[in-house]
Amino acid sequence: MVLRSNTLGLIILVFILGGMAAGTSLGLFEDNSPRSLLEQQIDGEEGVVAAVDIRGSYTFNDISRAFQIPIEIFKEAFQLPEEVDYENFRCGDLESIYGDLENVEIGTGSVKLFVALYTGEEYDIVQEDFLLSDAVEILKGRGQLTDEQRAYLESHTIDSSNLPLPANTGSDPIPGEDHEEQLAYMIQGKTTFADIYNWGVSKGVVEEIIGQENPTGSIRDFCAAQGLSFSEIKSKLQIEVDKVSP
Amino acid sequence: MKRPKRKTLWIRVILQVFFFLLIAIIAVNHTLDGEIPVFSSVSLHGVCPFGGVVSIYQFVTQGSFVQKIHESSFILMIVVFLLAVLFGPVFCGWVCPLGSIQEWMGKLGKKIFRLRYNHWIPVKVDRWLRYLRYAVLVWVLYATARSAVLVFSDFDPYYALFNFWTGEAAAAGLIILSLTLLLSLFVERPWCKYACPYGALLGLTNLFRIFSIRRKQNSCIQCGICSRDCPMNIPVDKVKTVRNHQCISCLECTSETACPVADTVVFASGRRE
Repeated sequence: MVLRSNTLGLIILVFILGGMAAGTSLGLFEDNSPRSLLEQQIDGEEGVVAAVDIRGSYTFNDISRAFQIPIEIFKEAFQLPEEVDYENFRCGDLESIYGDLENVEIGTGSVKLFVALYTGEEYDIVQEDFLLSDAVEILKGRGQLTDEQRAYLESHTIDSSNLPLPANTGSDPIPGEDHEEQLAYMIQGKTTFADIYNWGVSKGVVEEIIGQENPTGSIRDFCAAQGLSFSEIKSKLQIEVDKVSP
Repeated sequence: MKRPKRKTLWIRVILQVFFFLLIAIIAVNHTLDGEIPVFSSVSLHGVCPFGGVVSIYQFVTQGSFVQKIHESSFILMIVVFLLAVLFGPVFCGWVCPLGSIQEWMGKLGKKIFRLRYNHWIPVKVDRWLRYLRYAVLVWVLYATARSAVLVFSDFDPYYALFNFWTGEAAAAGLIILSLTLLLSLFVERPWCKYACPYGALLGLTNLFRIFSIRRKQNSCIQCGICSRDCPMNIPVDKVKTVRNHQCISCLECTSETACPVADTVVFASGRRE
Protein backbone atom coordinates (compact mmCIF):
# COMPACT_ATOMS: atom_id res chain seq x y z
CA MET A 1 0.00 0.00 0.00
CA VAL A 2 1.45 3.32 -1.09
CA LEU A 3 0.91 6.39 1.06
CA ARG A 4 1.03 9.86 -0.48
CA SER A 5 2.41 12.86 1.37
CA ASN A 6 -0.99 14.53 1.72
CA THR A 7 -2.44 11.43 3.35
CA LEU A 8 0.54 11.07 5.65
CA GLY A 9 0.32 14.74 6.62
CA LEU A 10 -3.35 14.40 7.49
CA ILE A 11 -2.72 11.27 9.54
CA ILE A 12 0.04 13.03 11.50
CA LEU A 13 -2.21 16.03 12.10
CA VAL A 14 -5.12 13.86 13.24
CA PHE A 15 -2.92 11.74 15.55
CA ILE A 16 -1.22 14.66 17.28
CA LEU A 17 -4.15 17.07 17.48
CA GLY A 18 -6.39 14.14 18.42
CA GLY A 19 -4.00 13.21 21.22
CA MET A 20 -3.91 16.80 22.42
CA ALA A 21 -7.71 17.08 22.23
CA ALA A 22 -8.13 13.85 24.20
CA GLY A 23 -5.60 15.05 26.76
CA THR A 24 -7.34 18.43 26.99
CA SER A 25 -10.71 16.79 27.57
CA LEU A 26 -9.14 14.87 30.45
CA GLY A 27 -7.65 18.09 31.83
CA LEU A 28 -4.10 16.92 31.18
CA PHE A 29 -3.04 19.96 29.18
CA GLU A 30 -4.00 22.45 31.85
CA ASP A 31 -1.42 24.64 33.45
CA ASN A 32 -0.88 23.38 37.00
CA SER A 33 1.62 26.00 38.06
CA PRO A 34 1.09 27.52 41.51
CA ARG A 35 -0.17 30.71 39.82
CA SER A 36 -2.74 28.75 37.87
CA LEU A 37 -3.92 26.88 40.97
CA LEU A 38 -4.43 30.20 42.71
CA GLU A 39 -6.51 31.38 39.78
CA GLN A 40 -8.65 28.26 40.11
CA GLN A 41 -9.29 29.06 43.75
CA ILE A 42 -10.19 32.63 42.83
CA ASP A 43 -12.63 31.19 40.32
CA GLY A 44 -14.43 29.39 43.12
CA GLU A 45 -12.78 25.97 43.37
CA GLU A 46 -12.39 25.17 47.04
CA GLY A 47 -9.17 24.13 48.70
CA VAL A 48 -6.95 24.23 45.63
CA VAL A 49 -4.34 26.29 47.46
CA ALA A 50 -3.69 26.27 51.20
CA ALA A 51 -1.99 29.07 53.13
CA VAL A 52 1.20 27.01 53.14
CA ASP A 53 1.18 27.11 49.32
CA ILE A 54 1.32 30.91 49.14
CA ARG A 55 4.30 32.06 47.08
CA GLY A 56 6.24 35.28 47.28
CA SER A 57 5.04 36.08 43.76
CA TYR A 58 1.36 36.21 44.74
CA THR A 59 -0.08 39.69 44.97
CA PHE A 60 -2.15 40.75 47.96
CA ASN A 61 -5.02 41.19 45.57
CA ASP A 62 -4.78 37.53 44.49
CA ILE A 63 -4.49 36.29 48.05
CA SER A 64 -7.41 38.45 49.13
CA ARG A 65 -9.61 36.99 46.40
CA ALA A 66 -8.45 33.40 46.79
CA PHE A 67 -8.85 33.27 50.57
CA GLN A 68 -11.73 35.75 50.73
CA ILE A 69 -9.99 38.08 53.16
CA PRO A 70 -10.78 41.77 52.58
CA ILE A 71 -7.82 43.70 51.23
CA GLU A 72 -8.25 46.25 54.02
CA ILE A 73 -7.39 43.53 56.52
CA PHE A 74 -4.01 43.00 54.84
CA LYS A 75 -3.48 46.73 54.67
CA GLU A 76 -3.97 47.02 58.40
CA ALA A 77 -2.20 43.79 59.36
CA PHE A 78 0.96 44.66 57.46
CA GLN A 79 0.72 48.43 57.80
CA LEU A 80 0.67 49.05 54.08
CA PRO A 81 0.36 52.69 53.00
CA GLU A 82 -2.65 53.98 51.03
CA GLU A 83 -0.76 54.27 47.75
CA VAL A 84 0.08 50.56 47.48
CA ASP A 85 -1.00 49.07 44.15
CA TYR A 86 -2.46 45.76 45.30
CA GLU A 87 -2.71 44.45 41.74
CA ASN A 88 1.08 44.37 41.54
CA PHE A 89 2.34 44.38 45.11
CA ARG A 90 3.55 40.89 45.95
CA CYS A 91 3.69 39.48 49.43
CA GLY A 92 7.36 38.70 48.87
CA ASP A 93 7.91 42.45 48.61
CA LEU A 94 7.31 42.68 52.36
CA GLU A 95 10.68 41.08 52.94
CA SER A 96 12.44 44.01 51.38
CA ILE A 97 10.37 46.80 52.90
CA TYR A 98 10.75 45.30 56.37
CA GLY A 99 14.30 44.19 55.60
CA ASP A 100 15.86 46.49 58.18
CA LEU A 101 14.45 44.57 61.13
CA GLU A 102 17.14 42.77 63.06
CA ASN A 103 16.91 39.00 63.53
CA VAL A 104 13.28 38.85 62.47
CA GLU A 105 11.56 38.74 59.12
CA ILE A 106 8.22 39.99 57.93
CA GLY A 107 7.67 38.37 54.58
CA THR A 108 5.95 35.57 52.73
CA GLY A 109 6.08 33.32 55.78
CA SER A 110 4.28 36.00 57.79
CA VAL A 111 1.55 36.22 55.16
CA LYS A 112 1.14 32.42 55.20
CA LEU A 113 0.88 32.44 58.97
CA PHE A 114 -1.56 35.33 59.01
CA VAL A 115 -3.80 33.82 56.34
CA ALA A 116 -3.83 30.42 58.04
CA LEU A 117 -4.70 31.85 61.45
CA TYR A 118 -7.25 34.26 59.98
CA THR A 119 -9.10 31.55 58.08
CA GLY A 120 -8.71 28.98 60.84
CA GLU A 121 -6.93 26.63 58.50
CA GLU A 122 -4.87 23.83 60.01
CA TYR A 123 -1.28 25.05 59.91
CA ASP A 124 1.86 23.65 61.49
CA ILE A 125 3.90 26.52 62.88
CA VAL A 126 7.45 25.35 62.51
CA GLN A 127 9.13 28.39 60.98
CA GLU A 128 10.19 31.45 62.94
CA ASP A 129 7.63 33.72 61.31
CA PHE A 130 6.74 37.00 62.94
CA LEU A 131 3.67 39.21 62.67
CA LEU A 132 3.14 42.88 63.37
CA SER A 133 1.15 43.70 66.49
CA ASP A 134 -1.67 45.02 64.26
CA ALA A 135 -1.99 41.60 62.63
CA VAL A 136 -2.01 39.87 65.99
CA GLU A 137 -4.77 42.19 67.22
CA ILE A 138 -6.88 41.32 64.18
CA LEU A 139 -6.39 37.62 64.84
CA LYS A 140 -7.19 37.92 68.51
CA GLY A 141 -10.30 39.87 67.61
CA ARG A 142 -11.57 36.94 65.56
CA GLY A 143 -11.45 34.81 68.70
CA GLN A 144 -10.42 31.56 67.07
CA LEU A 145 -6.78 31.25 68.13
CA THR A 146 -5.83 28.18 70.11
CA ASP A 147 -3.78 28.47 73.32
CA GLU A 148 -0.77 27.14 71.48
CA GLN A 149 -1.14 29.74 68.73
CA ARG A 150 -1.59 32.52 71.28
CA ALA A 151 1.57 31.40 73.07
CA TYR A 152 3.49 31.39 69.80
CA LEU A 153 2.30 34.87 68.88
CA GLU A 154 3.26 36.21 72.29
CA SER A 155 6.89 35.61 71.43
CA HIS A 156 6.63 36.34 67.71
CA THR A 157 5.00 39.77 67.62
CA ILE A 158 6.70 42.99 66.55
CA ASP A 159 5.30 46.18 67.99
CA SER A 160 4.51 48.17 64.87
CA SER A 161 4.26 51.46 66.79
CA ASN A 162 8.05 51.44 67.03
CA LEU A 163 8.58 50.82 63.34
CA PRO A 164 9.27 53.49 60.75
CA LEU A 165 6.65 53.62 58.00
CA PRO A 166 7.49 51.22 55.18
CA ALA A 167 9.07 52.93 52.24
CA ASN A 168 9.09 52.05 48.59
CA THR A 169 5.75 50.30 48.48
CA GLY A 170 4.68 51.34 45.02
CA SER A 171 4.00 49.05 42.13
CA ASP A 172 7.43 49.47 40.62
CA PRO A 173 9.89 46.67 41.17
CA ILE A 174 12.00 47.23 44.24
CA PRO A 175 15.62 47.88 43.34
CA GLY A 176 17.85 44.89 43.88
CA GLU A 177 14.91 42.58 44.44
CA ASP A 178 15.14 39.39 42.44
CA HIS A 179 11.82 37.64 42.68
CA GLU A 180 12.83 34.75 40.47
CA GLU A 181 15.76 34.10 42.76
CA GLN A 182 13.48 34.16 45.76
CA LEU A 183 11.21 31.57 44.22
CA ALA A 184 14.07 29.43 42.98
CA TYR A 185 14.73 28.01 46.43
CA MET A 186 11.16 27.37 47.53
CA ILE A 187 10.04 23.80 48.05
CA GLN A 188 7.02 23.13 45.89
CA GLY A 189 4.90 20.15 44.91
CA LYS A 190 7.36 18.84 42.36
CA THR A 191 10.55 19.64 44.22
CA THR A 192 12.69 16.54 44.59
CA PHE A 193 15.19 15.51 47.22
CA ALA A 194 17.86 15.90 44.56
CA ASP A 195 16.86 19.56 44.21
CA ILE A 196 17.41 20.37 47.84
CA TYR A 197 20.72 18.48 47.84
CA ASN A 198 21.71 20.68 44.90
CA TRP A 199 20.65 23.76 46.87
CA GLY A 200 23.17 22.80 49.54
CA VAL A 201 21.18 20.95 52.21
CA SER A 202 23.13 17.92 53.39
CA LYS A 203 21.76 14.42 53.02
CA GLY A 204 22.17 13.80 56.75
CA VAL A 205 19.96 16.77 57.65
CA VAL A 206 17.29 15.63 55.20
CA GLU A 207 17.37 12.05 56.48
CA GLU A 208 17.06 13.31 60.05
CA ILE A 209 13.94 15.32 59.17
CA ILE A 210 12.42 12.54 57.07
CA GLY A 211 13.40 9.85 59.53
CA GLN A 212 14.46 7.54 56.74
CA GLU A 213 17.56 6.87 54.72
CA ASN A 214 18.09 7.64 51.05
CA PRO A 215 14.79 9.34 50.20
CA THR A 216 14.42 9.84 46.43
CA GLY A 217 12.03 11.40 43.95
CA SER A 218 9.58 14.19 44.65
CA ILE A 219 9.16 15.18 48.30
CA ARG A 220 5.39 15.35 48.03
CA ASP A 221 5.12 11.88 46.50
CA PHE A 222 7.55 10.47 49.02
CA CYS A 223 5.51 11.90 51.92
CA ALA A 224 2.29 10.56 50.42
CA ALA A 225 3.82 7.11 50.02
CA GLN A 226 5.22 7.08 53.55
CA GLY A 227 2.14 8.56 55.22
CA LEU A 228 4.00 11.71 56.28
CA SER A 229 2.54 15.22 56.40
CA PHE A 230 3.87 17.01 53.33
CA SER A 231 3.26 20.46 54.78
CA GLU A 232 5.15 19.56 57.97
CA ILE A 233 8.11 18.02 56.17
CA LYS A 234 8.10 20.83 53.63
CA SER A 235 8.23 23.50 56.33
CA LYS A 236 11.07 21.77 58.15
CA LEU A 237 13.05 21.30 54.96
CA GLN A 238 12.35 24.88 53.87
CA ILE A 239 13.98 26.10 57.09
CA GLU A 240 17.12 24.15 56.17
CA VAL A 241 16.98 25.39 52.58
CA ASP A 242 16.66 28.98 53.76
CA LYS A 243 19.76 28.52 55.91
CA VAL A 244 21.93 27.55 52.96
CA SER A 245 20.32 29.32 50.00
CA PRO A 246 21.92 32.54 48.77
CA MET B 1 21.92 13.86 -16.12
CA LYS B 2 20.32 17.25 -16.00
CA ARG B 3 18.43 17.54 -12.81
CA PRO B 4 14.67 18.07 -13.28
CA LYS B 5 13.02 20.76 -11.18
CA ARG B 6 12.05 19.25 -7.85
CA LYS B 7 8.61 19.73 -6.40
CA THR B 8 7.90 21.03 -2.93
CA LEU B 9 5.99 18.91 -0.44
CA TRP B 10 3.69 21.71 0.62
CA ILE B 11 1.78 19.60 3.11
CA ARG B 12 4.99 19.00 5.07
CA VAL B 13 5.95 22.67 4.96
CA ILE B 14 2.47 23.62 6.19
CA LEU B 15 2.62 21.15 9.06
CA GLN B 16 6.10 22.27 10.07
CA VAL B 17 5.02 25.92 10.18
CA PHE B 18 1.81 24.99 11.96
CA PHE B 19 3.52 23.04 14.75
CA PHE B 20 6.29 25.61 15.09
CA LEU B 21 3.71 28.36 15.61
CA LEU B 22 1.57 26.18 17.87
CA ILE B 23 4.47 25.46 20.23
CA ALA B 24 5.64 29.08 20.09
CA ILE B 25 2.16 30.35 21.01
CA ILE B 26 1.82 27.84 23.86
CA ALA B 27 5.25 28.87 25.18
CA VAL B 28 4.35 32.57 25.02
CA ASN B 29 0.96 31.85 26.58
CA HIS B 30 2.67 30.12 29.48
CA THR B 31 4.81 33.21 30.01
CA LEU B 32 1.66 35.36 29.95
CA ASP B 33 -0.12 33.11 32.47
CA GLY B 34 -2.65 31.99 29.85
CA GLU B 35 -3.77 35.37 28.55
CA ILE B 36 -4.06 34.09 24.98
CA PRO B 37 -7.50 32.45 24.76
CA VAL B 38 -8.13 28.99 23.25
CA PHE B 39 -4.46 27.91 23.42
CA SER B 40 -3.09 25.82 26.27
CA SER B 41 -0.79 27.60 28.69
CA VAL B 42 0.89 24.41 29.82
CA SER B 43 4.66 24.71 30.20
CA LEU B 44 6.96 23.70 27.35
CA HIS B 45 7.74 20.47 29.21
CA GLY B 46 4.06 19.61 28.99
CA VAL B 47 4.10 19.59 25.20
CA CYS B 48 7.39 17.72 24.82
CA PRO B 49 6.93 14.00 24.21
CA PHE B 50 10.53 13.36 25.23
CA GLY B 51 9.56 14.50 28.72
CA GLY B 52 7.40 11.41 28.88
CA VAL B 53 10.32 9.20 27.83
CA VAL B 54 12.67 10.49 30.54
CA SER B 55 9.89 10.08 33.11
CA ILE B 56 9.20 6.42 32.36
CA TYR B 57 11.66 5.09 34.95
CA GLN B 58 10.27 7.24 37.76
CA PHE B 59 6.70 6.53 36.70
CA VAL B 60 7.29 2.79 36.80
CA THR B 61 9.30 2.74 40.04
CA GLN B 62 7.52 5.47 42.03
CA GLY B 63 4.31 6.21 40.17
CA SER B 64 5.22 9.87 39.80
CA PHE B 65 6.66 12.12 37.12
CA VAL B 66 10.04 13.74 36.94
CA GLN B 67 9.96 17.33 38.14
CA LYS B 68 8.15 19.67 35.71
CA ILE B 69 6.81 16.81 33.57
CA HIS B 70 3.08 16.54 33.05
CA GLU B 71 0.70 13.75 32.13
CA SER B 72 0.37 15.53 28.79
CA SER B 73 3.96 14.55 27.97
CA PHE B 74 2.97 10.92 28.37
CA ILE B 75 0.00 11.32 26.04
CA LEU B 76 2.20 12.89 23.36
CA MET B 77 4.89 10.27 23.88
CA ILE B 78 2.39 7.49 23.21
CA VAL B 79 0.97 9.26 20.14
CA VAL B 80 4.42 9.90 18.67
CA PHE B 81 5.52 6.36 19.36
CA LEU B 82 2.44 4.97 17.61
CA LEU B 83 3.16 7.19 14.62
CA ALA B 84 6.77 6.03 14.63
CA VAL B 85 5.84 2.34 14.66
CA LEU B 86 3.58 2.93 11.66
CA PHE B 87 5.53 5.51 9.68
CA GLY B 88 8.95 5.90 11.29
CA PRO B 89 10.18 9.12 12.98
CA VAL B 90 7.64 11.40 11.24
CA PHE B 91 7.72 13.52 14.39
CA CYS B 92 11.27 14.53 13.48
CA GLY B 93 10.56 15.24 9.83
CA TRP B 94 7.12 16.80 10.04
CA VAL B 95 6.49 18.12 13.54
CA CYS B 96 9.56 18.90 15.66
CA PRO B 97 10.04 22.70 15.66
CA LEU B 98 13.76 22.35 16.32
CA GLY B 99 14.11 20.13 13.26
CA SER B 100 12.08 22.62 11.23
CA ILE B 101 14.14 25.64 12.17
CA GLN B 102 17.35 23.76 11.34
CA GLU B 103 15.84 22.91 7.97
CA TRP B 104 14.91 26.55 7.34
CA MET B 105 18.42 27.66 8.24
CA GLY B 106 19.67 24.96 5.90
CA LYS B 107 17.82 26.51 2.98
CA LEU B 108 20.06 29.53 3.42
CA GLY B 109 23.09 27.24 3.56
CA LYS B 110 22.00 25.56 0.32
CA LYS B 111 21.84 28.91 -1.42
CA ILE B 112 25.34 29.78 -0.21
CA PHE B 113 27.16 26.47 -0.68
CA ARG B 114 24.95 24.77 -3.30
CA LEU B 115 26.10 21.17 -3.93
CA ARG B 116 28.78 21.40 -1.25
CA TYR B 117 26.05 21.93 1.34
CA ASN B 118 25.47 18.96 3.62
CA HIS B 119 28.55 17.20 2.26
CA TRP B 120 31.35 18.72 4.36
CA ILE B 121 32.03 15.87 6.74
CA PRO B 122 33.91 12.82 5.37
CA VAL B 123 31.57 9.85 5.11
CA LYS B 124 33.67 7.59 7.38
CA VAL B 125 33.78 10.17 10.17
CA ASP B 126 30.15 11.07 9.68
CA ARG B 127 29.06 7.44 9.95
CA TRP B 128 30.52 7.12 13.45
CA LEU B 129 29.38 10.55 14.59
CA ARG B 130 25.82 9.43 13.89
CA TYR B 131 26.01 7.09 16.90
CA LEU B 132 26.82 9.95 19.25
CA ARG B 133 23.14 10.62 19.80
CA TYR B 134 22.70 7.19 21.35
CA ALA B 135 25.33 8.09 23.93
CA VAL B 136 23.38 11.29 24.64
CA LEU B 137 20.18 9.25 24.97
CA VAL B 138 21.77 6.81 27.44
CA TRP B 139 23.24 9.67 29.48
CA VAL B 140 19.94 11.57 29.61
CA LEU B 141 17.93 8.51 30.63
CA TYR B 142 20.48 7.45 33.26
CA ALA B 143 21.03 10.90 34.75
CA THR B 144 17.29 11.65 34.87
CA ALA B 145 16.44 8.31 36.47
CA ARG B 146 19.18 8.77 39.05
CA SER B 147 18.42 12.37 39.99
CA ALA B 148 14.68 12.59 39.25
CA VAL B 149 15.46 16.01 37.78
CA LEU B 150 15.22 17.10 34.16
CA VAL B 151 18.98 17.28 33.72
CA PHE B 152 18.70 17.65 29.97
CA SER B 153 16.66 20.84 29.99
CA ASP B 154 19.76 22.90 30.77
CA PHE B 155 21.37 21.63 27.55
CA ASP B 156 18.27 21.27 25.43
CA PRO B 157 18.29 23.60 22.41
CA TYR B 158 14.54 23.00 21.93
CA TYR B 159 13.86 24.33 25.44
CA ALA B 160 16.22 27.24 24.82
CA LEU B 161 14.50 28.04 21.50
CA PHE B 162 11.14 28.60 23.16
CA ASN B 163 12.41 30.07 26.42
CA PHE B 164 15.18 32.46 25.44
CA TRP B 165 12.96 35.43 26.35
CA THR B 166 11.99 34.12 29.78
CA GLY B 167 15.41 33.92 31.37
CA GLU B 168 14.70 30.27 32.22
CA ALA B 169 16.91 28.91 29.45
CA ALA B 170 20.35 27.93 30.74
CA ALA B 171 23.47 29.40 29.15
CA ALA B 172 24.53 25.93 27.96
CA GLY B 173 21.20 25.45 26.18
CA LEU B 174 21.44 28.84 24.48
CA ILE B 175 25.00 28.13 23.35
CA ILE B 176 24.02 24.72 21.97
CA LEU B 177 21.04 26.28 20.19
CA SER B 178 23.25 28.96 18.63
CA LEU B 179 25.80 26.38 17.53
CA THR B 180 23.07 24.18 16.10
CA LEU B 181 21.63 27.02 14.05
CA LEU B 182 25.08 28.08 12.88
CA LEU B 183 26.03 24.54 11.89
CA SER B 184 22.73 24.23 10.04
CA LEU B 185 24.20 26.57 7.46
CA PHE B 186 26.71 23.84 6.58
CA VAL B 187 25.07 20.56 7.53
CA GLU B 188 21.40 19.69 7.29
CA ARG B 189 19.82 19.07 10.70
CA PRO B 190 23.09 18.75 12.69
CA TRP B 191 21.34 18.36 16.03
CA CYS B 192 19.07 15.62 14.67
CA LYS B 193 21.96 13.73 13.11
CA TYR B 194 24.51 13.85 15.89
CA ALA B 195 23.00 14.74 19.23
CA CYS B 196 19.23 14.45 19.52
CA PRO B 197 18.37 11.78 22.10
CA TYR B 198 14.72 11.66 21.09
CA GLY B 199 15.66 11.27 17.44
CA ALA B 200 17.92 8.41 18.48
CA LEU B 201 15.07 6.63 20.20
CA LEU B 202 12.54 7.23 17.43
CA GLY B 203 15.17 6.31 14.85
CA LEU B 204 15.16 2.75 16.16
CA THR B 205 11.64 2.32 14.79
CA ASN B 206 13.15 2.50 11.31
CA LEU B 207 14.24 -1.07 11.86
CA PHE B 208 10.70 -2.44 12.13
CA ARG B 209 8.19 0.24 11.07
CA ILE B 210 5.21 -0.68 8.87
CA PHE B 211 5.56 1.96 6.13
CA SER B 212 9.02 2.62 4.69
CA ILE B 213 10.71 4.39 1.83
CA ARG B 214 10.92 1.78 -0.97
CA ARG B 215 12.71 1.96 -4.32
CA LYS B 216 11.49 0.08 -7.41
CA GLN B 217 14.61 -1.30 -9.02
CA ASN B 218 13.01 -1.98 -12.40
CA SER B 219 12.06 1.62 -13.02
CA CYS B 220 14.97 3.29 -11.16
CA ILE B 221 17.35 5.07 -13.54
CA GLN B 222 20.17 5.22 -10.96
CA CYS B 223 20.45 9.00 -11.17
CA GLY B 224 21.25 9.22 -7.46
CA ILE B 225 19.10 12.29 -6.91
CA CYS B 226 17.20 10.59 -4.09
CA SER B 227 20.43 10.11 -2.14
CA ARG B 228 21.69 13.57 -2.96
CA ASP B 229 18.47 15.18 -1.71
CA CYS B 230 18.16 13.17 1.47
CA PRO B 231 18.68 15.60 4.36
CA MET B 232 20.08 12.78 6.46
CA ASN B 233 22.54 11.66 3.71
CA ILE B 234 21.05 8.19 3.44
CA PRO B 235 22.09 6.30 0.26
CA VAL B 236 18.54 5.64 -0.88
CA ASP B 237 19.67 4.61 -4.37
CA LYS B 238 21.70 1.73 -2.93
CA VAL B 239 18.87 -0.06 -1.14
CA LYS B 240 15.45 -1.44 -1.94
CA THR B 241 13.93 -0.50 1.41
CA VAL B 242 15.31 2.23 3.62
CA ARG B 243 15.93 0.81 7.09
CA ASN B 244 18.58 3.36 8.05
CA HIS B 245 18.26 4.44 11.69
CA GLN B 246 18.57 8.09 10.65
CA CYS B 247 15.61 8.25 8.26
CA ILE B 248 13.08 10.88 9.36
CA SER B 249 10.33 9.97 6.86
CA CYS B 250 10.36 13.43 5.32
CA LEU B 251 9.59 11.92 1.88
CA GLU B 252 12.03 14.35 0.25
CA CYS B 253 13.57 11.47 -1.74
CA THR B 254 10.33 10.13 -3.16
CA SER B 255 8.83 10.42 -6.62
CA GLU B 256 6.58 13.13 -5.23
CA THR B 257 9.62 15.43 -4.95
CA ALA B 258 13.19 14.49 -5.81
CA CYS B 259 12.97 11.26 -7.82
CA PRO B 260 12.35 12.17 -11.49
CA VAL B 261 10.64 8.86 -12.33
CA ALA B 262 7.01 8.43 -11.31
CA ASP B 263 6.14 5.77 -8.74
CA THR B 264 9.73 4.65 -8.26
CA VAL B 265 10.71 5.85 -4.81
CA VAL B 266 7.58 5.58 -2.71
CA PHE B 267 6.39 5.45 0.87
CA ALA B 268 4.70 2.11 1.15
CA SER B 269 3.92 -0.88 3.31
CA GLY B 270 4.08 -4.57 2.49
CA ARG B 271 6.41 -6.28 0.10
CA ARG B 272 7.29 -4.37 -3.03
CA GLU B 273 9.97 -4.92 -5.54
